[in-house]
Amino acid sequence: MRYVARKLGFYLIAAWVALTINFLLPQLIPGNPVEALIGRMSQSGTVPPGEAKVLTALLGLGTGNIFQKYWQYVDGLAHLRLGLSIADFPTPVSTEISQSIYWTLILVGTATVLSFVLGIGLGALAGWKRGSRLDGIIPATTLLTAMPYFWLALIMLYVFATNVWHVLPQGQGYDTNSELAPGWNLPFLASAVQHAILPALTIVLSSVGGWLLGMRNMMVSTLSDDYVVAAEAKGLPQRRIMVGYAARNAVLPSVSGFAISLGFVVSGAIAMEYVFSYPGLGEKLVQAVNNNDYPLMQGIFLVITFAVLGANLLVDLLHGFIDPRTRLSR
Amino acid sequence: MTATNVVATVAAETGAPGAGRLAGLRAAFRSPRLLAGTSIVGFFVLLGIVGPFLAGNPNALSHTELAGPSASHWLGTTQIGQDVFAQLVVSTRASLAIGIGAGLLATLISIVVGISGGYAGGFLDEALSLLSNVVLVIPTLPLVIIIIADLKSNGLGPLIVVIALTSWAASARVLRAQTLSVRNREYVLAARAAGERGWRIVFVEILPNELPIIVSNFIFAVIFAILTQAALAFIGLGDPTLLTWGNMLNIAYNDEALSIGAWWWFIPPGLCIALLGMGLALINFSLDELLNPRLRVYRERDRERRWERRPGAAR
Amino acid sequence: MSEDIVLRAEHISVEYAGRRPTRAVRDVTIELRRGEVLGIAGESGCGKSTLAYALARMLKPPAYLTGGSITFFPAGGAPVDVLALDGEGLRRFRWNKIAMVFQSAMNALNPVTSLAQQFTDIFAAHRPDLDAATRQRRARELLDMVGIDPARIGSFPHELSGGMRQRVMIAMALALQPEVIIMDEPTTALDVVVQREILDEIERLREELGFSVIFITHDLSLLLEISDRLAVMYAAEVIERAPAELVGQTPAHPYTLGLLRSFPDMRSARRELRGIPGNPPDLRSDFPGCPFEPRCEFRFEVCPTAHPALGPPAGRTVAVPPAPPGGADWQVACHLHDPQYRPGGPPAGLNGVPAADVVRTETQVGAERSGGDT
Repeated sequence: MRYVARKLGFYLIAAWVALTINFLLPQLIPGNPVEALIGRMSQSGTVPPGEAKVLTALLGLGTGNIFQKYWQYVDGLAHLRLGLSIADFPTPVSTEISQSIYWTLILVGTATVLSFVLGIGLGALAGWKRGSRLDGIIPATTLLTAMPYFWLALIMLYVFATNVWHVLPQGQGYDTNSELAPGWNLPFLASAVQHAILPALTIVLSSVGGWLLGMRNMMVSTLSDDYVVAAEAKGLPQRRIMVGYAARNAVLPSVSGFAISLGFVVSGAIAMEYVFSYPGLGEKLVQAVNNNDYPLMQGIFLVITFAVLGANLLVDLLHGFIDPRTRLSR
Repeated sequence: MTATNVVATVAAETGAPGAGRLAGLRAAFRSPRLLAGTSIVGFFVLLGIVGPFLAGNPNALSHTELAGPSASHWLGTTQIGQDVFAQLVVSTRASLAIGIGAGLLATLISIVVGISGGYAGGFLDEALSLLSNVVLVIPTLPLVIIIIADLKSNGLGPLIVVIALTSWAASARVLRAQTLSVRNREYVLAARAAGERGWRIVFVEILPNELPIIVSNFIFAVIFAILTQAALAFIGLGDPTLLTWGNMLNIAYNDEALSIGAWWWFIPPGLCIALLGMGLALINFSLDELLNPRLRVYRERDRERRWERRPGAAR
Repeated sequence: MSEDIVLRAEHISVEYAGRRPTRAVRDVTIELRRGEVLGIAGESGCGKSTLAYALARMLKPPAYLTGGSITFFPAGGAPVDVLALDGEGLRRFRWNKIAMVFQSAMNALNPVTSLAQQFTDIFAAHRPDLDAATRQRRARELLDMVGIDPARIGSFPHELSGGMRQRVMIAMALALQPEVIIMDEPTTALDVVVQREILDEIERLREELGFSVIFITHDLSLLLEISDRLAVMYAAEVIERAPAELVGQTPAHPYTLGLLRSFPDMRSARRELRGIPGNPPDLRSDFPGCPFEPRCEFRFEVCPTAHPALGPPAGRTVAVPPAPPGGADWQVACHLHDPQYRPGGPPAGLNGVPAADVVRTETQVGAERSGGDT
């Protein structure tokens, strides 16, 4: 239990740091951003009263000394006063975020898990049969991993949707031209899946290589560990040794490395959503940046960061479950 | 052990005649991966340094818009008639410079944080370790995007600094772990007993022995920096007038290169990033294999066949 | 202990691949008798562990068996050509007939699964007919047999001390009641008190269950105590093979003599401790003469030129008491015992005179050297 408490404590600290960074950064913005924002908003419609105050708190530009500003900021966040979006005025930022978060979660989440499982599985096999032809896929996967996500996305689009073959949709989350209504109906879901294939494939292809390589190397290293040799001396069947003795130990660094790579996946997803015009958080963020939509930027950054921290916490707890030794250590 | 020491040991183990340092290095270079990686990286570095003088004006407009590769334009032209090849060559220099600059800075920060934390121990170590872990766990690109957006600056300097500030944590953690084990080795203890001062020990005893890992970290940092900068330029952040690979991709995408089918425009820049990344990764991979003999693979099949065919074998 | 042989390995040679292959085991022949403890002694790097792995068919690349045969004679069954076993046959043979106790039990146990799970793995692989309850019961019995509280069956390896882990390894080795157990330095990593307990445990179990043991260690004094017969290895070869009791008193090979002189005897008079000067040879080379010759104080002209073969030691028929039951085949690979080269027999200390008299003072050694006994 101490393990869980420690991990929870760490992630709370990390979340606090992210919060504080988000508070400090807008101080960098030249000029008076709140005035500029209010000015732009009023061009699109009536600015609700008190909006200026919300924005001031959100951007950490409130009244008083730094602690008072900080308190206003935290207070505002706690009440989810995230402001109104500039570009899509007067939609609240929270609405924008909740609209896009599902798309990103489902796409990125599923694709990441898929590539993790695939990469670890193939890596374990490649490591187990080292020196075999399976090792031949390593240069190919190295190349795939070195490719920027978004460039791979461009190629996928080009080949499968735009130019070479026209089998898959060119973008968006679902077919926006037809009369499909978002919701739990089959035509919509079918269209959504169809539109998710290319982005998901891009994520899987780019990241599977990293998992594969890491797992393969750990497998090869683990295979010369004493307990694997002992397991073979005990006459245990090969499959049992590979899974229960070698792979289970070899996967540990990958599980802890998952935390780091989750950051990469999220980062890559941002540019990739941009390419596919996929209606997720990433695309929203890029739009927001290009529109100088500070409230939206702030909100999305926090949401993305907290989500990644949460996922990391889960993975760390999983690691503690798989490896009983970590439950004891400091 | 420094890289050369380890290499010499490896060479001696395999019984290479005249196993000295030089022979060891020569044996190391026989690895095809290392050779391939070094040639690729070397090619790009050369291109970056010398290329722009030879390639012509990347900004020159011409009347052959969106033309495919030809004798006069090796990689075709953009939507306003600029020579893609010239643009590519000029981008190489900028992309490389940013990548190497940010990578270097990130590595420096990681050395300072990782080694001092690992060596000092106690509260400083706990604090620095916590810092590294927190920075590590916060996703990089969103943070970089927000910072650059808020700064509203297009300068190269801030870009390099921001990338470096968000990417040093992984290396720092590795270096800290390494330092923790090195500082208990005999030669360090001996130096401390002899009264050598802390910073001298770090520079003379500890740092040289962590050189292989530092080099490996640096390579990763460069890969990461190049990819990050490319992603930033692609989504439209940073200086729009600075020609980088990411920038080229941005313009190509926004100018509908995809639907028009101008593959010569958007394929080469990404390909350069991928190739350079692969070259760096190959170097890293073979360095890894060199220093960790357990990863080496022996070609089993031939020996087993020979054993089976031995005279008097009961098969 | 009977004359009945349970394991015979003949002309075993093992090589480590490389640009210059390292020949770690050279033409070694050993026989293990039913119910006996055969000790194998030697310095680090002499090839004894490699030999153990070869016997258990556990060699991994870059180590390859390049010659020899291994035959296992099960009680009441047909002889088995161990090298011909493959695939499923080899898997079933392993642990059932020949089990192994490894050197560092810390690493020989799977760190992420419990002891219960690891015992289950063994039973599931070899005794699939046993149900879960029986497996659990059997596992607990085994733990109890080696002196561990059966309630610890659910523990993880890192929750046990070094000594306990080694006992668990022994319990696992006994799980299928094998006829031969090969123990590779089972107590080297433990402190002397625990070492004593483990050795007593092994001896007790052996008497109770009747398996044969090949015990490998660099600690010759230990072997003198627990083995029935022992073989001394040097530079990948067996250079002396004898009943333990006798070789401890009257060693035939200069190397064995050197080993014996390297540790103090608690009961004899105080004397100067002497090691063996020099280093073991590089096993990548071939030795035209005797491999021990550069370090041997008794070397003479023929030693660097002719490679000694195993043969009966000189002078044993006279000074040695009647052979103990089970036969006392005593062989040594040394030219000093070859009547062809030394018709007069080996020098004092190697001619069957008890080792106590071998104790010499500084002046005697000096006189011997300059006087020239070679």
